[in-house]
Amino acid sequence: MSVLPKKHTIPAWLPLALLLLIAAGISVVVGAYELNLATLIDALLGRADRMENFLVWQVRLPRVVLAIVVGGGLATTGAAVQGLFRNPLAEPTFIGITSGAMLFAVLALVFSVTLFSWLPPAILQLSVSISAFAGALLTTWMVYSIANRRGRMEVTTMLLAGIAITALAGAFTGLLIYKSDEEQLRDITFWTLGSLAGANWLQVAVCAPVTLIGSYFLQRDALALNAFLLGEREAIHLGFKVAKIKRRIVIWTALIIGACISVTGLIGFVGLIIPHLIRLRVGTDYRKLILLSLLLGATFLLLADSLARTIVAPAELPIGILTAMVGAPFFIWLLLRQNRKSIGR
Amino acid sequence: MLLHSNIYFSTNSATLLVKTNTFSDRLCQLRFIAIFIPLALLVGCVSSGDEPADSPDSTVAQEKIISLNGTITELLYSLGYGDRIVGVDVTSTYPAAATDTLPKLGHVSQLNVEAILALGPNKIFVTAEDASKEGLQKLRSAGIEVLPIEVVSTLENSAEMANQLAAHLDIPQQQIQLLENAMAADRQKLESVLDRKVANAKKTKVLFIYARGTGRILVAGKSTEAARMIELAGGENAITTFDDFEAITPESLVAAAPDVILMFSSGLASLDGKQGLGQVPGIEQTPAYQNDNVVAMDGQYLLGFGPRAGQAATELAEKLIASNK
Repeated sequence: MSVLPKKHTIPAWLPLALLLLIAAGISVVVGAYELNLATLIDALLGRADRMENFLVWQVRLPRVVLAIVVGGGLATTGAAVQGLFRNPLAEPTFIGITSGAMLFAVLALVFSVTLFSWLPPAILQLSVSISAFAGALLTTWMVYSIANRRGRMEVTTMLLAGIAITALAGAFTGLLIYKSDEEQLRDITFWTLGSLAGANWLQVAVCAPVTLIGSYFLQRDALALNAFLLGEREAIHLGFKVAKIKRRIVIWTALIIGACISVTGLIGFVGLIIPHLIRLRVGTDYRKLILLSLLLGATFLLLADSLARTIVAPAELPIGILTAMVGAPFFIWLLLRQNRKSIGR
Repeated sequence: MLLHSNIYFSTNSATLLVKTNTFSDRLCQLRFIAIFIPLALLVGCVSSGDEPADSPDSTVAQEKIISLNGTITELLYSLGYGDRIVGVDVTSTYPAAATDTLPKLGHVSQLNVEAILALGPNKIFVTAEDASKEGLQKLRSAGIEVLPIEVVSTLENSAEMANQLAAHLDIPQQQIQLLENAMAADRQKLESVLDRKVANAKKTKVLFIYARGTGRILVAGKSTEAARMIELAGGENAITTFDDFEAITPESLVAAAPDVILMFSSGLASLDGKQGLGQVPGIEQTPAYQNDNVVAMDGQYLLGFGPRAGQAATELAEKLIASNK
């Protein structure tokens, strides 16, 4: 091992923040519409022609920022939920958030056409997002109430309740899918594969504050999550208000995930793989895990989205396909390497 | 038990509660970044190679059109406007020789706004139903005219659409007249075929099957475009109990007792032809299958209600008559 003096070490988040900056730079530069650097800078300053200004400010930038926010949100909450359940395989899906969002998004997709077609199109489009967000909060609340007995929340009960609610919501979703026509089915399929194609500043304005404030609160509870590793009783003895902290984590997770996937649709794998990658490298210290997951999740989704909008141009690839396609093999490779290393030891 | 396994958290938990800051941590970070750099490079490479070819200096003032509907595309070609089209959606399949060479923009509800802007269109034609899709609103704010065209399931549809297009494009009136004449001739031909048929009083019962592999087989209800086309061709829709496309049980399939099964060629191909169709439970027991009356026609031709709608109806009418003998 190295004998370098400790004084010169860099903070853990710095390389990842730099990486995120580089990824953001790449994302702004690449795209199906070719812009040379000079035009890009002009457009960023609003000095290029109308179309190029629009392209950069209304199409590319909101998408880049949204990818950062959503990627960060998914990964941070993934880390927090893994801490809450004391299980590295946990995901926000486990507390019913995703299934609720999906059921309500599908409800909106199926019924907005038939029942609410008189609404203006702008509101119709928002209806899917609003509905998905409401669904995410509703199912999480149900799961939480089931697990909450006289102020004591059983993590195991919560997990099982989450699975039950997920199955129930899945059944209703299945029913709606069965009754949907070809066009609705296609919309539903696209929603479950996720996409950042519709990114706009309104979505950023909704998701960014929720994700940032939520991540701040999750980070504040990082020490408590570390204490959870010892067991809940031990955490209580260490002076943590466990019940309160658990509730706080569930609420912020539901808000962040709800906000993010209500605008993008389902994006799998980020919440599971990113905290895990960080954990493989820096160990299970939530003080680092939460923040580093945020940075790496943002970087990962940014790069995945850059691929999604260029790889099959002029068409568009749903990003959920890419996160799994790039993420899963990479993850398996890391696991295999980890195994080999521990066998070698 | 999985729920409480701490196997993974092998780090000494107690040390996590105090501040740790070791150099090896940082080193790991750096190594880990090295893994991510190839991914970033991949993004760069893929995108730089994928720019659509564009020739900015040629044909300066010429219109550039994008069509996001198969019938609109077909109509634009038949009106002689095909060479102005710079991109089409996934449903634009006719004329195949021309549309195959154009950039395919995918499905209208999943558009790549940047890529469309890169094609530099000034007019985008969509169906009135699709006009409010998310991506289109963005294109509208980018200053591109997004023009909704009403598409209805009638034999005269294309002439009406041509008039709508003429409001936005410089289409010579005689071109539209030519189209209307050709379509009127097709309709007359259809009528003469149907007149021949009057002798047999009973209408042929036709079941339209929409298939995408054996996993998803739907039949057309009574208010679908398929039912409309069947009626135009002098047949009657075998399904009268529901409106839309629905999955059907083998028993109801037998009960519907269609004389003819009508399918898209692509649908029949997805079942591996007639033999595969027979494997679908209930199909083998229908009179249509037993008498080998399975008709397959191209999707855009049969149900696009484009300029060839009259021809398609005539062809179907002739096939229905032939099935009765």
